[in-house]
Amino acid sequence: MTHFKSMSVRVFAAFLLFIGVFAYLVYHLYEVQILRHEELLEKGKKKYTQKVVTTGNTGEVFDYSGYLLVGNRPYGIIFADPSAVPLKHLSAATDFLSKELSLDRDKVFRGLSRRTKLLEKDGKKITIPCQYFLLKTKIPYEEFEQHRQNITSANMKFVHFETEYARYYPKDGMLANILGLSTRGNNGKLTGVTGVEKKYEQNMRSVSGELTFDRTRDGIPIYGGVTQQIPEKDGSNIFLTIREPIQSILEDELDKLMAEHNPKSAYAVMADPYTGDILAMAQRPTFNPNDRSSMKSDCWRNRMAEDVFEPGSVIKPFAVAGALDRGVVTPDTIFDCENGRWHYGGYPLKDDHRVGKVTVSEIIKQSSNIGTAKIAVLMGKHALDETLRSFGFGQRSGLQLPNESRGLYPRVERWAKVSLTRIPIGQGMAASPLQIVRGYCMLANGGHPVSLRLLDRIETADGKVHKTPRPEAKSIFRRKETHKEIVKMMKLVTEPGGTAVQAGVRGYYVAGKTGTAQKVINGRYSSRNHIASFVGFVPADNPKFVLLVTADEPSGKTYYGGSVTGPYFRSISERSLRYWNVPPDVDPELYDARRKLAAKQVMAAKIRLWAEERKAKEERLRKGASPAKSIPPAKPVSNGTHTSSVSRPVQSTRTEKKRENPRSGRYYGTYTAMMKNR
Amino acid sequence: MNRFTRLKEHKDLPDEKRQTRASGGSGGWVWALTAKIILIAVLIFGAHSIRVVYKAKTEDLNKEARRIDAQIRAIKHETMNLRNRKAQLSARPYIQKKTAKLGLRAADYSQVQHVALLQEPKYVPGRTPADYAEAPAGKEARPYSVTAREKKKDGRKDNAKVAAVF
Repeated sequence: MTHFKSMSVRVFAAFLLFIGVFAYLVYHLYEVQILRHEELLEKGKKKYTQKVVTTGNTGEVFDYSGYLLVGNRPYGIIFADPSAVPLKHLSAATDFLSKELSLDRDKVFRGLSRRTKLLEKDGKKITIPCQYFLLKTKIPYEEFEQHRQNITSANMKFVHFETEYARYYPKDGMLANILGLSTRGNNGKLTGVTGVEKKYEQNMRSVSGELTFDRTRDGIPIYGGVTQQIPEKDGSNIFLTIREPIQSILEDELDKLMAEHNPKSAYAVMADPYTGDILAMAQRPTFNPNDRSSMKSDCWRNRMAEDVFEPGSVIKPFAVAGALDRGVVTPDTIFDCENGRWHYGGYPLKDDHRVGKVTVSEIIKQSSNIGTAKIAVLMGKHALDETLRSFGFGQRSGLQLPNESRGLYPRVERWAKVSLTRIPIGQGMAASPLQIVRGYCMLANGGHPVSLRLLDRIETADGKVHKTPRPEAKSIFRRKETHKEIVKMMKLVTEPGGTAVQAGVRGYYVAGKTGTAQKVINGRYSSRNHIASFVGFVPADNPKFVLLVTADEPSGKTYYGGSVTGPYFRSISERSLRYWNVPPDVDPELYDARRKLAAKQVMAAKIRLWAEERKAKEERLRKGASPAKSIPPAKPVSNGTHTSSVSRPVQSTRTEKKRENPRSGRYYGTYTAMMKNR
Repeated sequence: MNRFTRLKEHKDLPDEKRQTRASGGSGGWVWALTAKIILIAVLIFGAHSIRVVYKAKTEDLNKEARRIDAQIRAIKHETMNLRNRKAQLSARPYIQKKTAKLGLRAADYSQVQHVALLQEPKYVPGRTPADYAEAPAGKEARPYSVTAREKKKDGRKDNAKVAAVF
């Protein structure tokens, strides 16, 4: 064989080898790219594609002007992957993390060293790597960022960081009972528990999105590598009708009322009479939703919507308005109020102070139970029932808060005979503060029915605004003059001689009514437990707002609506009118002069009356008349809904002792004492 | 020794073999193939290198984008916190604490004065503001104030009205 020939063979063999390898490569390429394309693509996607669920922000709650009432606050969560902790660095990592996060070193060490855990699956116990150990949660965001920087710079890749949002109430306890609160469930979703948070939970809930993207080996998303995106959606924001500055005024004054009179509870509600917007509402006791330990059992209910009570004399203007509207009476019609004692249906009815023959206007001014009862008797029960129902009693106020009560208002067929004289003075029925406010809104706006509104508008994440409607309705008054007449009467309540002189606002005409309702304890009216209220609107002829202030069982020197809640009605009104820059109805100095003169004249008239009474008494004693017969003790009265007792027996002689104690509820003989305690 | 074997000279070779010899022999095409393969390999390597560089740049951009995303998130959180803080600062308890600390008190309602014009200002064509610089004598001298006597007079009239009511 020649040298040349052996070289050719080798070359040929190399060539063959080369071709073989090349052919194999080509085949492999074909196999990978064509035959196993789908399979390998899926594998690749699984490894380098990540799916992340994104969540939007829960909607927030604002007042009418956009002041934040309920918001979201970010907080940080730091957790570690124990299975990724290098064993040789475990001790150093523990020292660093426990120092950085101010945690117990032993706890951290135990958590980080637990690299596996047992899991039961299909009846078998299997060991899986433990990849989650919570180090710290609810970290304020600034602190969290600092920790993140420090831990990242220490190159601890097994520590991970997450951000979550918690509900935050920046005004603490303001409006707490109405706003309610929410809590995070086991599924991580925010759930409303009470109040606005519960009512509008669906609107405020965010919609989760999904993001599928390609990532690098280190888990970093590749820019432009988004393969699928379902965008998340933030929840809608809720705007209430509440005005935060006015709300602050209400809360402040309620705190003062609680400090002065120490009642069991107190509430105040202010509403716009024309639109039904709730401008402010507050109650005590209350709680701070940022501090759940302050949520005691009597604190978190919305008493203004859920609780009902016998309203007492605040109902009188409705009955009288109905009688005026039907032409049954006029403002000058005179009724004999029997000097404070009257019987109807076999049961006695008394007034807190003796009133003789007076006009309908005076009946409202002096809050005569007998006068009002006689008006109601003249009206008839069906007319009275129709009147009260048309003012919204027995129905919800329209606020649409959870657990709002309809009140207790018996059907007219179930009325006892005596109910005709009790219901118009606010006994034998129960109403919530919201129902009373709604009724007074109708009195203030000329009889037009309104539904109370708490929600003004909802703004979605994409900027759409949905405003809640304000339905308009025709006036329930048949006569145009009825509104003016009843307002004129109600103005007298805050004038000298009325029951709420302390509720008068300097420079403004206030139309209102006091209520001092006895509470029913163990089926009987209590002489010690009262609910003191004052409700009114100001300026009377063009009202800016209707305001109700109520104190449940004031334990101070007095319990009358005019003296307990009247002054706070005045202070809230003064501050609110000043805030809104409402000009006064009359020059304040002129106002003072008029009131002074009126007070003098009222005093003079009462002194004259007192002198006449004393003269008549002396006359009787001189003639040797027998003392007045005592009336037997009152029997409990059942009017179909609950039992009530009406009054205590009248004593045959009146002693100085009776005049001294205002809490006994006994008859008052002196005008001075009466004025002191109104 | 093989006397009959001798190196063939170029002129003795047939034409085909002459050409082969001239071109370097039967292994030349292998080198060409090899050269081609090397060229392709160099091209592939070059493309791969460019791809690697491009990927590295993309990764840098990714990191930058991620960093900016994190910054945006941090700014959003900071904005949220600032807004919450603003709401907290305007809350009643906080303001009350501050006012107590500064020794302030609530304004007295009786100190508020409302001023109203008793009559509309009269417009006289041809007059300039300078013409009103000096107030004329007489009753017009006091268009916006009420003397004590007039107040007393008004008060008496109103007293009569009030008396009529009672």
